Amino acid sequence: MKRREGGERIEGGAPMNRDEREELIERVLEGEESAAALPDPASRRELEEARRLDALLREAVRLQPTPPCPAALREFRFAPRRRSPFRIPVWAAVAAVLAAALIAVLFLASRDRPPTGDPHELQALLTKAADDSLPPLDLMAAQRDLVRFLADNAGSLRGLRESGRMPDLDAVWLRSCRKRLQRALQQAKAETSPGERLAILEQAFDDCRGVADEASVRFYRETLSDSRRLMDESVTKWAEGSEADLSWADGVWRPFAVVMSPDNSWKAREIRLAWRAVADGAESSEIAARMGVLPRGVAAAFAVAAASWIARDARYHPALVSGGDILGEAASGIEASLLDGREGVGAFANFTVMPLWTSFFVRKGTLPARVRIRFGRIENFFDGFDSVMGRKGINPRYVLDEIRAALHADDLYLLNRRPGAAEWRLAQLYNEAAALPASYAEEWRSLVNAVNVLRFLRGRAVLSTVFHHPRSAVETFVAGLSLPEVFSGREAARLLLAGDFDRVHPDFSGAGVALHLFREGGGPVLPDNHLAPPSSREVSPTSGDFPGSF
Amino acid sequence: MNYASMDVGELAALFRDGDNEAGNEIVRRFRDSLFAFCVRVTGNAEEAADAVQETFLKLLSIRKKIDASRSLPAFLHRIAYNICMDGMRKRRHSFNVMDFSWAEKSFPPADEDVMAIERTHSLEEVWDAVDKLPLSARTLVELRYRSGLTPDEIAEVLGIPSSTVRVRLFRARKLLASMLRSHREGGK
Repeated sequence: MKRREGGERIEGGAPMNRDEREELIERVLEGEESAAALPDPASRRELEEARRLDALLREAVRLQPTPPCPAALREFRFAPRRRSPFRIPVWAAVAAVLAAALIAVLFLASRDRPPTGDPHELQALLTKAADDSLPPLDLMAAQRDLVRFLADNAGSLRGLRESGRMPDLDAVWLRSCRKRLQRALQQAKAETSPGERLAILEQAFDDCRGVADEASVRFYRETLSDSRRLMDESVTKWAEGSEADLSWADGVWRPFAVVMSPDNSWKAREIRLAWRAVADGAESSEIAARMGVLPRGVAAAFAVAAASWIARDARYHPALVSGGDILGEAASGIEASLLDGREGVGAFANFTVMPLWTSFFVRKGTLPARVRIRFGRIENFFDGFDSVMGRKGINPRYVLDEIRAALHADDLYLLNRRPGAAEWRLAQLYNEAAALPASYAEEWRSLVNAVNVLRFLRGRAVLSTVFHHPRSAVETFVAGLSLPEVFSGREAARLLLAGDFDRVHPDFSGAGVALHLFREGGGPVLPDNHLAPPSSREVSPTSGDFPGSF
Repeated sequence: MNYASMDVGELAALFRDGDNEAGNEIVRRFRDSLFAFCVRVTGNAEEAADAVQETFLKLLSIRKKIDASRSLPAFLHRIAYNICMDGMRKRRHSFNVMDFSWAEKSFPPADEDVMAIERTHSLEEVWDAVDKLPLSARTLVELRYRSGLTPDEIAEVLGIPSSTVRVRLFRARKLLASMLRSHREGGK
């Protein structure tokens, strides 16, 4: 607004707009401007009106004073400030806190306490070691890193557990399983060969037990059914003497195809009977009965087949012969140790203590028990065994199962620092085996003999497949079991086949166990050069020189 | 210490420095006017009481920011006003609760009859008319007359220029005059 002091309009200036005029009137009303500044009579009239209304409102407020606020609001008070009569200077408080912290640190440092380790590093290592999407060499390196970490930090891991900071290993494992299964399902669906498809699924489902959803299980069963039908047709033709079309047998059924090939040197009768029984879904004891041989003979046959196949770097899946029966499990474990580095189930000589134990109880449907038993209450296991023997009579199946578990219990006793107890108990069981049917007693003795293998290996054992069970691996190390050298099952098998017995004892490996069993049990004996490096001996199931005749 | 005899600036300074008794004197002096203001703004005594209490609590929480050289009444009314507006916005789900479109209208020029308002209208009629003003006009009238704030203080409360306050205050009075005139004409 262009005005001289006093509100006068500047001569020649632009006339006031409405806002300027009304603001000026308001200022005059408040006494900030002189009424002389108003530009025209209309403004002066409006000033008069504003004055009257202003006076009216002031009078209205005077005559109707503000009502008091509610009583509740009248009680509003700020609390009086409380000052301690004993005021401590800031510097004194800080000094006291520092002194207390120093005392606490000194106290904690003086305690004999294991280091706490790094749970994040452990978790990262576990995740990587369980990630089988990595290339094999990377996976192996990841697993070695994990084991080194475990070996270097056994005390720390114990500290982690005690402090409750141990990573959720189950969660790590579950995530890994889900990823693996999902990937396997995708791969299997893209695979046209039923055998290949089944091989993929078998491995995934075996590794990821209990994780699959209903649709995945259905797909797996359908694939299994298709594959078995194909195999059944081929085996039937082959058993009748016809040459079977084995083109479908890539993947999981390949060892069968190898054995079924016309120029193989296996004993046709036993093998044909075995295939037929397997195709019927028989358990190994039934297979053995049909073949007229001890069950371990079946296991050995399968194991040798697998051993032969690994020499050609082919793929074979041991789950074929695992069906909840001991010998099938043993074979699968043997082969798994050779081929996949998996523990299989029942691979008693594999020395994969925890995975085996876990697998056993998973199969028995008593998974929680393994934890209970693993940590110091193994006596319960024997109590259970006694009750089986005493109350239900002698059930060979139970006995064998329990003996097999007891073999691993021996190692559990190691973990519990009570060596010898399991062996003593096994000796008792061994003597009691006389009450069993002959075939089972023989099997029993063979199994108990494996205790000697374990005893021999003790102190220089190879923990081969813990990597597939990170939780077990961790807990094994936490429990104080130290192993001088650790290999994956695949690597152990290769070392073994390369004749590196200084690092891997042959009794450890599947092939070594097969050899052991054959020699002890009078089964087929492998040629002496079986364990020679593949480079020095061309091993081919079709070359006629393997596995020899029996 | 005789807090009752202190001016508002002194009380504000003491309260800022941690003297809660000074704060209680501030509460005693302003609770009624703040409550009346909040009642006029919100139209609800319960909400107004809550708003006043919240205003004092807010003052306590920001006591260190109190500028004793500035108007404490304006500061308190600004807090209360913002609290009332927040509550109204939440209830109405609308941001623009203060409509000033009335201030853009023109009202008839004053005449002799309007000059006689004070003689022809009762107190109740005046306050009834004030209550019927749009919220924004009512807020201005409340702040100016019942709370006794200057246009500059009102500008601080509402966050608008003081010149705008003056113009809107002028027009709010004209609107009130127009409403009283209409009321009188309707009563004839």
